[in-house]
Amino acid sequence: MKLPEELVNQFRTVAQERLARIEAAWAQVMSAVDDEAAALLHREIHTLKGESQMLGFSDVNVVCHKLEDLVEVARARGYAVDEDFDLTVNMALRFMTMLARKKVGSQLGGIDLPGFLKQIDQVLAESRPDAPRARSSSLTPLNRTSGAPRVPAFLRDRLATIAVDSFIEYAAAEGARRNRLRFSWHTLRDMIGLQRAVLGPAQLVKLEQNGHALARELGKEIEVKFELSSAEVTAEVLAAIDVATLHLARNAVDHGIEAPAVRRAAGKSPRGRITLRGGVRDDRLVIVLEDDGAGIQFDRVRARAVELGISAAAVEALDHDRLIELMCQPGFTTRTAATDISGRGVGLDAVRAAVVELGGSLSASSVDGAGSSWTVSIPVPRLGIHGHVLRVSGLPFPLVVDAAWQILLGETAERVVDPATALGFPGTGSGDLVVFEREGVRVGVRCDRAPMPMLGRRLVVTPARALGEVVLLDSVEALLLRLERF
Amino acid sequence: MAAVPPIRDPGFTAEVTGEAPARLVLRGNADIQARTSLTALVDTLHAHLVERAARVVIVDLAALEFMNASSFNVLVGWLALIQELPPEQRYRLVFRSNARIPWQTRSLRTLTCFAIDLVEIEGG
Repeated sequence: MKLPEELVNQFRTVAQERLARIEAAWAQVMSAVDDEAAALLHREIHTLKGESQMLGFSDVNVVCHKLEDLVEVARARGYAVDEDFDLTVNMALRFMTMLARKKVGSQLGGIDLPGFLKQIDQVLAESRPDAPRARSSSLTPLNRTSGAPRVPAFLRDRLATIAVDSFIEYAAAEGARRNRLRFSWHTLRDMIGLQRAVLGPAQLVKLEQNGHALARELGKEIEVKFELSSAEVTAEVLAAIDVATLHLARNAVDHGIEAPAVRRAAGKSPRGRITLRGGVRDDRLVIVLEDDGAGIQFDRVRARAVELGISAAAVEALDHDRLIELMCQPGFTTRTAATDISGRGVGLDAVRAAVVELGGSLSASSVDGAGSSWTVSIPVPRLGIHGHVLRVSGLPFPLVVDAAWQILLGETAERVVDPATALGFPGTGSGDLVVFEREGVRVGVRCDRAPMPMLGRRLVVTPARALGEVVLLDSVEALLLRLERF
Repeated sequence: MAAVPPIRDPGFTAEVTGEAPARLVLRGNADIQARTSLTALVDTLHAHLVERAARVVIVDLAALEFMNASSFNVLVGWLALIQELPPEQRYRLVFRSNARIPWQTRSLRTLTCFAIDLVEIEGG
């Protein structure tokens, strides 16, 4: 059946608009975790797939299917994909733009659709979460979620400064020396760089399954509610949250939530409720797990403390905060016999250890008969950097200045920095003077092109005393310069 | 080629040399900042090649260490410009690649899929 030309033309227009929105949403999710952009991305692709099928644009439809697969794989990896993958998605969009323009049923004329689909299949095969990582990162890194050796925090600061030096040396080198230094820089980056992961309801659904299984075993009924904002965090933080939420949820089901008959007698719904909420606020990830169970039985905690050898007088003097602190000590439990579920006294100890190791804290509050609430708070480094990107004569990489520095137009500065000379490159001192100001301090930098606003991803975090750190700027490594250090 | 001004940014350069065939040499890292200037260069070069009724142009990527998706899209856009020409005015793009630079192999193979009749790859 031949469709009216008007309808076909309308599809062409709408398809171009959808493709533009898909491209913008893809760029957005690649630069930062953005639930709204991710939802838009999936919705637009899905709709375009349906429309192209309906209107007989079978070539667009088949590429759209592949694009959906690509985006699904990217989603499963927290949109942490490498530049090959990014390029393939972009090429798929360009391919569809081209296909949507051609007449329905006309010859492809020079277009190698099967070849293109094969390319996508290859990228998909290499990028599935369970696929072996055969490709090495070339110029820019993959944003990994696991796999790198763990480096103690005290060493990381020292190595980070060395890593930045090695990046600068690599960028300046040529030939075989450049390859050797690139290897050094990438090795250091992979050892101490930020390993990213995405925290969101999807990662915590296993808690729900685990909680229900445990409740069934104990003859209890529960419902689990998530009120979590998706957040990009480091892989270490995600691992700590995994440990913490697993133990706290098990404790809530085992110790907090009462049996249905007991709850009914107390005037409660027979089904206990566990709520997990939180997200990143003010550079901290705060996760709260609360239940509407019986609350912490502080009299049992006191009794158990006495059994473990603490004097009755000392125990009596402990307030609730101190008793909670005691509950988090290794080997402490109110259960006198270990069960398969809990009671071995390792849960809260493990939670606290995982959280404290990352500079975080664990706190709790409880209302007798109404439930308890446990709060995990972990500092998280900023993973993205808003700033200005500059090109400076003599430097083989872009420079970035944090957005905390504002650009002053037509002003002068008492101090002018020549970053090229300061970093050991032959500086020319040419270019326009750009004046930055922060907290009353003005610093001038000569650069070749007007600074552009940017959002970069931090690769290696250095201590504040370092001259700078390396950030990823749209697939290119750049040096974030701390002007205050010059 | 005086008609096509070169790009000489720190970290990325693009220059057209020769006439028949013209040769576009890209060097360094083509990141997002390269996109605007590269688009302008390609537009100018395209107009020049059409005017001269060129049949082929060499695009030398042997020293192009990296090209991000934004800048690579400029090459796709270039192909679209050529495809819009009447068949007798179309010219071919011959890419000289470097097998030691991993991204080039796959990216150029993908680019070929857009117009197998207009793209040729040497090396790689």
